[in-house]
Amino acid sequence: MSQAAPMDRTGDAPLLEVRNLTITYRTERGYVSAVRDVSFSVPKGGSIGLVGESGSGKSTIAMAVMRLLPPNARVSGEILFEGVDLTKVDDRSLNKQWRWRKLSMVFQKSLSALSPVHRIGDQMHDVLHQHEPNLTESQRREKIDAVLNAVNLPQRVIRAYPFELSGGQMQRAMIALGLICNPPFVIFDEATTALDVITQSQILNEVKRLKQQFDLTTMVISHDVGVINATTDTVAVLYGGQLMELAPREAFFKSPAHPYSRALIDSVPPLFGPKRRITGISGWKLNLGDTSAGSQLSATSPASRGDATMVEVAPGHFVRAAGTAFAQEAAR
Amino acid sequence: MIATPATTAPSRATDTPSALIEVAALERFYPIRKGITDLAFGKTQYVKAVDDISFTMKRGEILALVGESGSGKSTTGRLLVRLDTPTGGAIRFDGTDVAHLKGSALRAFRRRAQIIFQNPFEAFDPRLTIGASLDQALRIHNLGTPKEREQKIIAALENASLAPAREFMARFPHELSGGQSQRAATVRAMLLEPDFLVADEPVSMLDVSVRADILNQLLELRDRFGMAILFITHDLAVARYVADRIAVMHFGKFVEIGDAEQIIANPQDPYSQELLANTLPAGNE
Repeated sequence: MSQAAPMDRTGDAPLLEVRNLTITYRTERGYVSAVRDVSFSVPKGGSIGLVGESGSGKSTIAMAVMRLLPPNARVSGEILFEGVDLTKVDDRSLNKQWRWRKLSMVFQKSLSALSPVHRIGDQMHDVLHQHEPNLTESQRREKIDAVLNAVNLPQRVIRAYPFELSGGQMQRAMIALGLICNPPFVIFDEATTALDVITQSQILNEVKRLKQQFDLTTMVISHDVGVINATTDTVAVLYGGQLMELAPREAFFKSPAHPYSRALIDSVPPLFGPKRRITGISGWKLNLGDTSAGSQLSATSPASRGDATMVEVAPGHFVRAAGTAFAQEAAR
Repeated sequence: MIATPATTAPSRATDTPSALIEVAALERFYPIRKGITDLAFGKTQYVKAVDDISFTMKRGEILALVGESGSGKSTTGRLLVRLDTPTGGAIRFDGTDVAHLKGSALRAFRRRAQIIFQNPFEAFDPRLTIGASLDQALRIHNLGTPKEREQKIIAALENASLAPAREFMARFPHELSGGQSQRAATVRAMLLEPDFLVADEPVSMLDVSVRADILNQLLELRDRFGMAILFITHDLAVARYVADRIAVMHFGKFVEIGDAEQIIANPQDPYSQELLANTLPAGNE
């Protein structure tokens, strides 16, 4: 396949298109590559799931899309949202036009993502004040009421502090906050990871309903293949900052093509069917500080991206070819 | 049993088919502090964290305790290793009621009943090396000479594939990954060769990739040492993988207890059914 991101088959321009995204952190001990030459696109109304272990680069990609990376991160490649390259947008218009209004993010740890000393309602007011300054007070109230309703939270939550809420309520408050400016695109970064199964399944169902109701395009980040299976239509598997596989959900779970994808699916015990021994994938250790990988990153010419070969094994189903960095890693 | 000095081996040799643990009508109620008027006129109100549960466990058996947050799973685990004291009921361990043990008798019991926790990063004293923390577990119970203790620790670490053992012993907790830390915590719990182990959500904070390793480590330890394990989890698929039997807990009570495969295939209680219906299929069934 070419260097361009796999396009969606509907012919519409994608809402989000990530092209050859590479992210490197400069540290005291040299360069650390977090994301290497990742390309994918999400059509309007679609939902992509990024799945991988800690350190695979999935959250880093989300932070790059939101432009929330720390100053020591170097980004190359393009992040096109409605055709505009977000990596080149200046900070002022980023806050005025993009964050919260066009794209928002629901973070993993709602307890630390919400301010502990402000009431939930005040935090929502704050966002509206900053990003939609033209609204009147009563319009703001209306918006807050509407999003709280949408996520099944009672009105009393407006007056509550985060510590007064349960884990599930807090996560719902985070989702409400993410929806408050009606953005067309929302990132869920491990949004249900800390919750118990029943609350998790309730919230995932709500997310699915909200997706319909608000016509959202979503990016779901999780290490849990079950969550990815339940909420996305396209799966992107990341390992060591690189895409290993990009596939429609059904095809991915029916016939995962990359050995790492298979290992990821097989590391979870099945709930039904024959009982079988599961195996860890801890043998495949990452070394993100590997200087040879780091030096690859500094060059951005297409010729230097030797390991960027992904093969289309079925329509829309891309797999990293053998003989790449991963295959060498797995052989070790 | 209570008076057994810590230096003699516990009576693990008596391999009777009878139950190792018998829990009868166990209760843990926490009083809710109320205002002055309630003190004068009202009755004290209680949160019934554990409310009248009874079950038995055999040696070598793994019982999974499943339920949502706040159902009383962890409180039950803490009561069974006596990190907390029940407000009612009995816990018979190898024939002796341990529910209200104190002092040296409690210490002798704890040598035979160990626990590993959910968060491996908080399981070790951050100022001690792993070696020192492991040594402490043996020293508290006056087991062995320094040389013997060291050899025991090295053997245990290498068994848990934390090799080279000496390198791990010199490390501090923050220098270990989550999976390594949880394996080291399991090693520490097993150093005393307990008859009973409580594993309180030991994999829920770990990356999927290392969960299998921890679960398999527990299964291997059970096969080798034959201890009983109370495995606390909210994940039914994990419960099915490790456990012989599953107990479903809801608002402090057992709503169902039985053979693991039976409970997954044919749950009888409406709450068990709800729990099962809400468990996400991993896509590999």
